[in-house]
This record gives sequence, structure tokens and C-alpha cells, in this order.
Amino acid sequence: MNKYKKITLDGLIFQNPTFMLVLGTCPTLAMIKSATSAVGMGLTVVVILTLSNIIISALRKVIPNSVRIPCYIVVIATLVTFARMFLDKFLPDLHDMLGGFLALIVVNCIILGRAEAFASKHTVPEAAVDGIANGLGFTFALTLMGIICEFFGKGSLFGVQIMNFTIGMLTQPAGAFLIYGLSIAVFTYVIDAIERARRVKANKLARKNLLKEAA
Amino acid sequence: MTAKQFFKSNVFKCLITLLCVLLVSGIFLTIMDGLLEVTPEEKRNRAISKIYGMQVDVEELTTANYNDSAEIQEAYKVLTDGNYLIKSKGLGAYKGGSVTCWVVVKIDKDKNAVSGIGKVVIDSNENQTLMSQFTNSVLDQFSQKYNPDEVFTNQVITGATAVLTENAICNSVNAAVDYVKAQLGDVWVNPYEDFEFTKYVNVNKRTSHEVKADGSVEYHIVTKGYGEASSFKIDITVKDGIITYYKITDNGSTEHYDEHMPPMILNGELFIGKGLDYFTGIYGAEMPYKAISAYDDNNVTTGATTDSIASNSSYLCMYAGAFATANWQKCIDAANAEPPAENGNGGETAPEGGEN
Repeated sequence: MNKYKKITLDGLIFQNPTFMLVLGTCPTLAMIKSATSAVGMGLTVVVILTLSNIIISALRKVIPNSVRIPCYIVVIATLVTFARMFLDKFLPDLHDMLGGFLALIVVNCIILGRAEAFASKHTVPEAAVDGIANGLGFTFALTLMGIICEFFGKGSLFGVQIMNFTIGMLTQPAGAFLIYGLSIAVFTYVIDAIERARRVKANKLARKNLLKEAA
Repeated sequence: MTAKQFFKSNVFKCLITLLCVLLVSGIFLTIMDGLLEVTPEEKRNRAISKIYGMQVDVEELTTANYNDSAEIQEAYKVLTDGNYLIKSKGLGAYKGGSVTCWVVVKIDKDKNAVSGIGKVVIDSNENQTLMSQFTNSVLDQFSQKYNPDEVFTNQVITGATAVLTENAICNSVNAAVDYVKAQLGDVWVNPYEDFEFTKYVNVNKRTSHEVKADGSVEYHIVTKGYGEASSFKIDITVKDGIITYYKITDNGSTEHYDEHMPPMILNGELFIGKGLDYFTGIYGAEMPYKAISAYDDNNVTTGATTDSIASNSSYLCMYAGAFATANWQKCIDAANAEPPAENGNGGETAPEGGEN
């Protein structure tokens, strides 16, 4: 498989940071009360993650190993501060919606985790693709859960009222936890099923080739 | 390690790398801060569009305070519709705090007068803990219940149990209305302008009095807060400089400190038969604050704790007594100087019979 395709699929699906690696739980639970805030947080993380991966990958041969973590944190904090200034200037509504969780992106495990596990060991283009893929995987996960929580919790979708029936608990932290847990369960089941089907297919192909050779 | 060895070592490399990263980040953020700065004007325009629901053109006005229960922080005239947008900080909230509100005061252009309240939006608060009670349905009452002849009070605005915080919000809205009225030339004349002991008495349309036919003066005093004690409402009747009736109708103690107050102050018995000399004898001519433990009167200290916060509540009650006894003659003189009125500040009731 082409390496960029593998990086993309891993970030989006097979190593999804929210459902598979369970990283970035704090902003996940805070932002899935509504679909709009979920998308907003997700897209902000995409930008910051991609840029931090690019910069850290570009500096990977310059930064000594013993100070790599402080350097990564300075880079990430600088990007988050820049993002706050940018949003406050041009997108104040999104800035207000994200509130304190915008600053907390600095300590989001996804960003530091990908910096340490991937960006510091791969080239700039690969790190960029990884950042985009993991960011979009995070966004997809948050948006899906945000849609569920908002639809069943408030009866609306992206602020547009659809129905009057609501389950109030789903707009509370306990409800968010519940949806998060169920989403992880469903997602891992589906991925397991796909992996199993792949393995079965691969085994069948291998047996077929073996028999051909024997013949 | 020699200097040469140090400069070639990993430690130096790490230090330099870290410093360079910090320096570059710092320079980058400094440049970006300058380029992406949100000016105070932009912040103001954002606040205004949030309140109005759309971008409007405004003219900034000079602020002035016509009401000492609140501070006017910003004032704008909306050029689109002639209404006023006022940022007013209402004082007298819980624990001596405040609540700052944006108030849209509507204008009737034909009459050049205040026609109502358009909207009230809470901007910020100091030390308040129950702000969640002030939902849109509570704040909308300011628009629904505006009466040009009355001020907003806790009795008018309902739906919230945080009385002291509500008091501050009412002060904020009342001050905004007073400011706009003054802009339109309708400046309220304070009937207690040259009265004594007004520092802790809310003389801005809250306190009122009535001169009775028998020469007694019936006060309905609303005090300000002192320390952690908030506003008290007290009815006092004074005849010939002596208190003949004293009743606390609304106790402004917080945190259950009304339970620490001297019983004789709580039930008003202490004040019956007392004149100004009694109050100035305890506190001094200017009535500065004193803790309850310093009272040289067993009637006062018996049954009370020496907790200084309960002293704040007691002080306000004593201060109200001083205000009432110091100014009774002025009330009578003012009533005699005016044509008789049925109600309101300084009004005089019709005599029962004979000459006044």
C-alpha cells in the first residue's frame, strides 16, 4: 500500500485518535454537547496538529533528544497562542464557543503524542499528511458524537431545531461519557470486523497460491 | 570541564536550541500580537452587535453619574433608532459586589422621553454566585414592566431568589434610565440633597418619607450596604426628634448573620424614645463605623455575639436611626414649603381637621 495512503487511513480510521487510541478525552467530552462546537474544535485541532507536525519534523535533526519535549511544547504553545489571536480577530464567535478549551489544546495528548511518535521520526510531507489525517479523524469522531448528543439531547442539528423530543442527560457530562463509550464500542467492533474479513481474505488467497504452487 | 569543552558539549547544544526556539517563538508571537490585535473599538462594536443583534452606528457620549447606587461606565446613542445603549455597574450586590449590565433604553422621539427598556444583558459581575438564576425570562421583565413613575425593585422583578444580586441589577437599570433622562433634560431633583447622614442611605428614589398631620415624619428608609451586610429596609417614625416607631421590614444581613444581631435592634425596641444624641453618643458626630463590642450599652450587647460582621448589620440599623432623627425638621420644612401632595417623596397628607 502506498505509504501516504496508509498514513491517511491509519489517522482517519485504523488508529483513530479518539475511538481507537482514546486520546484528547477532555476536549472531546466538553465539545460534543453540540455539533457546531465539535466541528469548531476539530478543525482548530487539524490546523494546529498539521502545523506542529510540519515544524517539529523540519526541526527533528536539529533538536537534541534530551530537550525534545520542552521544544515540542514551546512550538505547540506558540501555535495555539497564534490560533487564539487569529480566532479572536477574525472568528470571535468560534473563539467564544471554544472558550477555555482552546488554550487546553496545548496539552492535548493527540498533538504531543503525534509529535513524539511520528513527526520526530518522519519527513515533513509524511508528518503533514499524518497531522491532517489524525486531525480529520479527531474531527470526524467529535462531529459524529456531537450530532448524536445534540440531536437526542436538544432535538436540533447544528443549531436548527428538528424535533421537540429531548433526552436532557445527553447534554450533560454524564451523557457525553455514555455516548463516547458506546461510540468506542461500536467503532472498535466495526474495525475488528473489517480486520477479520481482511485476514480471512488474505488467508484464502495464501492457501490458493500454496495449492497452485504445489500443483 | 573547560570552557572549550563546555561549548562543545551536549548541554550547551541543548541550551542554545531551547533558547533559539523560545526566541523565535517570542518574536513570532510579538509580531502576530501587533498584527492581530483586537482594538477596544472592535471589542465595543462586537458587544454592541451582540446586544442589538446587528451592527449599528453609535455616537459615544460623556458618562456622568446621577445615581450613586450605580456607575455609568459607557454610554452610546444609537444613531439608527435614537435609542441609548448604556453600560452600567450596579452596586449593592451580595458581599458588597456589583453587577455590570448593558441596558438599551428606548426613546419616544416625538415626546423626547424615555419610552421603555429595550433589553438588559449582563456583562460581568463581582463576587456573585447565583448569576445562573438571571435567565432571559427574568431580564425580559425589565422591558415588560417598565413604569415611568416607578423604579425597578426586587418586588417588581420576580423569578430569582438571589435578592441582593437582583438589587444590584435593578440599580444598574435604574441608573441607566436616570442617565438617559438627564440627557433628555429631565434631571431628577434629589429631595435629600442637603440632608445629614446620607452616606449609607439610598436616597435615589428608594428612600421616601411622609409628613403626617400630627407633625411626625414617617420614613421608609432603604440603606446601602456596608461590608458584607447588604441593604436594609426600615420604617421609622420620628416625632419632635424622637423615634416613636422602628421596624426592620427587610433584613439585609447575609450568611445568616441576622441571627447574631442584638435582639433589641432586630425588634426595634432599642430605638424607641431615642434621639440623635443617642446615636452620635455611641458612634461620634460623623457616625463612623464601630464594632458592636465597642457599644457601651448592655441593652445592645446582651444576647449579641461580638462577631464584627453582625456589627455591619447593626451599624446600618443605627445609621438609619441617625438619618431619621437628624433630618426630621428638614422634612417638615420642605413639606411646608411645597403645595400639598398625596403621595411620594416629601409629600404631606391632608390634615384630619383644623389648621395645619
